[in-house]
Amino acid sequence: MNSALGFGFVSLGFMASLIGTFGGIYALISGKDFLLKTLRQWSWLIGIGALGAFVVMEVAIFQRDYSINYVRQVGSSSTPRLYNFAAIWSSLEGSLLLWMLVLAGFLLAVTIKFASKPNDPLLGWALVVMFGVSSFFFLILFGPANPFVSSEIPLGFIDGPGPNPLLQNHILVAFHPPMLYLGYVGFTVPFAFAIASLITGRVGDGWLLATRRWTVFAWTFLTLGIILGAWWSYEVLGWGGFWAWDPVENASLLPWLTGTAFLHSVMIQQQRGILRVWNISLVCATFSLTIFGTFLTRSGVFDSVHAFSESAIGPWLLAFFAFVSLGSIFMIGWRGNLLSSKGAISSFKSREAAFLANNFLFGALAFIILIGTTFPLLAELIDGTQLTIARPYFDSMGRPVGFMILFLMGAAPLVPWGESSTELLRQRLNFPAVAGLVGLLISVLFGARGFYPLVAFTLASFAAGSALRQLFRSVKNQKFRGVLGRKNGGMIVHLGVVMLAVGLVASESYRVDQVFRMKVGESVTLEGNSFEYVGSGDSEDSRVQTRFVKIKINDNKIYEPAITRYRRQGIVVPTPSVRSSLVKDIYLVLDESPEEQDGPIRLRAIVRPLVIWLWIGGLFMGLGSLLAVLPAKKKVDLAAIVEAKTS
Amino acid sequence: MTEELDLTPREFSKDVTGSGIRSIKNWVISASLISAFGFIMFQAISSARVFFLNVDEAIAKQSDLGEQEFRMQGLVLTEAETETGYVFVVGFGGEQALVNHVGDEPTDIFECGQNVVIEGHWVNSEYFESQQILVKHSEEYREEYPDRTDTKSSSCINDSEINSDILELSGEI
Repeated sequence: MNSALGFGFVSLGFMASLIGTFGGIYALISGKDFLLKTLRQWSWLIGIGALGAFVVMEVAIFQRDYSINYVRQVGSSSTPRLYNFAAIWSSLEGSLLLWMLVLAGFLLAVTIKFASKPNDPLLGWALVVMFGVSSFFFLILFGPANPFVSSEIPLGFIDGPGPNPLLQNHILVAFHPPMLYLGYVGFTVPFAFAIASLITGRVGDGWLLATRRWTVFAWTFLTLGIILGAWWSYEVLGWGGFWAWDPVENASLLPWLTGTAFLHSVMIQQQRGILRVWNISLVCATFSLTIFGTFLTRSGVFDSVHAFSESAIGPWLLAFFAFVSLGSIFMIGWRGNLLSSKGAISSFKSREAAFLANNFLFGALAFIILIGTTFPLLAELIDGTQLTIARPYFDSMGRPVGFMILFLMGAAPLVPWGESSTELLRQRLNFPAVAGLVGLLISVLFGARGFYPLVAFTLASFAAGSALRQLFRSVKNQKFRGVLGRKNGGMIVHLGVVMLAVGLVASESYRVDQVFRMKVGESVTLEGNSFEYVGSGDSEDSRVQTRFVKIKINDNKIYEPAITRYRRQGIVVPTPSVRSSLVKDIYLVLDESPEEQDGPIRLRAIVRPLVIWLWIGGLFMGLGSLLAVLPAKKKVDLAAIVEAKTS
Repeated sequence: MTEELDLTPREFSKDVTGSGIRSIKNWVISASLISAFGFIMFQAISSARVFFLNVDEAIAKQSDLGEQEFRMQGLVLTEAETETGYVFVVGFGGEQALVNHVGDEPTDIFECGQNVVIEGHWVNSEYFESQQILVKHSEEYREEYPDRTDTKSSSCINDSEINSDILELSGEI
């Protein structure tokens, strides 16, 4: 029943997507407006198909309908409700259902938002592009990754294993993938409008203005998705880190970098009318990279904690990536004459020059990461050599670029558009420069040492000074509205990036890690913190067996790192316990659990300063981008003004 | 009171591409910068490459590898804690290698039958000195890549199943 119903919804969505795509193309080419108006109905049908398929799968998981193969793979009667709900995206087919649901949501939102312009060819072509993307994902769900394939339940099969243990170990697993997908899939909207602008030849600023908020929305969720992923990794994997330059992590960072570059360079186009080719290329690259990221995550070409769903859809995604990339290049080339702009950047001391430099840096960073990520694939493809590119490559290449980005983050908002005098720049640089020096001084006073960390703290303080200067001035003039709008919201995002950078550098540079062998009642110290082994305990249910130890930190609260064995999978996973504060995190992992009650243990204690700043920084980035899409100035009621003047 | 709209047409600044010579100069500078960037990237990648070999491949390439750092993958066949570290045997593809682990002690989840990736280098072409042990969590990986991992066994193998050279050498370490 569930299988047939679910497949029926997928079929409905697939058919509606196909009809929407080809019907839309026909309507636009033939100029039949009445057909164009029907596109809205196809969007609704796609929405019903995607939502219906998703709901049916959730119902099947909760009902333990083991006639569906996918439910046999990820379902279990012992999985708690929250993880049971999240089980749908714990493997390939279900995660594609989530992808499709999000895409259908965006499609419907675009349809509703622009409902007043059903005959606008720009909107029509944008919808056609979105229908096309939707057709591709429904095609995958229809064929190679059909989540509703059913078969006879094998003899002796009583219960499924549930999701991968690592995906039922922390609440963040319920939020990280949906956030990431909202970001990934959200970039379909600006991409669709960009392609529509190329097809219609309306390559001016119209499509940029129409999609600005959608782009910010997608970028915000991608940012939050990445940060939550790092947090999940930190809380769950027990290695005390949050970013390992894992290929799949890198894959999420690539569209983020190009998307961030676009959000900056789009302002140059709006202000100066230049960089049209560059902007449209960035939008297309961002969307292409989201597909590339999906390929890396879902094809299983890399062995990683994320690549838990090796499958046959790799070639499909790669082909779609190639189609999107090459198609975009072709379209941009085709419209090259319309995209060329006559203007140029007049001075190096201008905001447009600073933004352009910022774009080069984001582009360079994306290129560095792309090469480092794909090099092992290329090496294996060429001569079968299996290798990996170790962390030092990413750290050493990324560090100078990161420093320059921090500097520009502080400098660019101070420079006016057009040309500026040295005197004006000097005047504006005063406060941020002092902030940078104060930041350096405070860092040294608090014991920070080392060339790179001190450079990072100084530049971060400089950037923070620049952002605060703008916010103070704005709030002074406009009260609470001083934090609204693109520029002010952007400054709050900058403050978030500063916090993130400081947290990253401090927690990486001053990490102290030590392993202790302890008997019950014993105390050890690390970095001025005392750890007392109070005792151990066991807990178990039908799903897991847990052996935990009680560690009293600084004669205060007790923390319980544990080793958890998942019965179904027979997998043992360490569960760290973390004490977080604004100043430092104390991270405890049980390397060796006691063999008997209160027996000796091996405990790893890690002290990392300012880790929480990463998560707060992420929150600021999300908050800032929300404020950035709100209007900074009150809407002027033109009708009222005219009426007043007339009377 | 509303702000008056500034309707003055914006002036585009004059083109700075300049004369032909200046243009060539710009190209030369850009090409030099890109070349320098490419060279630095090449150097960074070359020094950060870590090869990934199964036990049988690592043994076959022992002389070529010398003391170069690489990652070796295999199944833990025996494990023993010594005064100097942790000594164990890993196997794959019908070959066995002795490992002297001198890095951080492995965690509780490290056990016989466990699939591991160890990072380190050969010492005197005799044994592998490892600095880091990575334990794989996922069971699916093994099922999907039978060519990359052997079947998980439930316990350590007997001494009689270990290569005699390795057995002798493990006593010396």
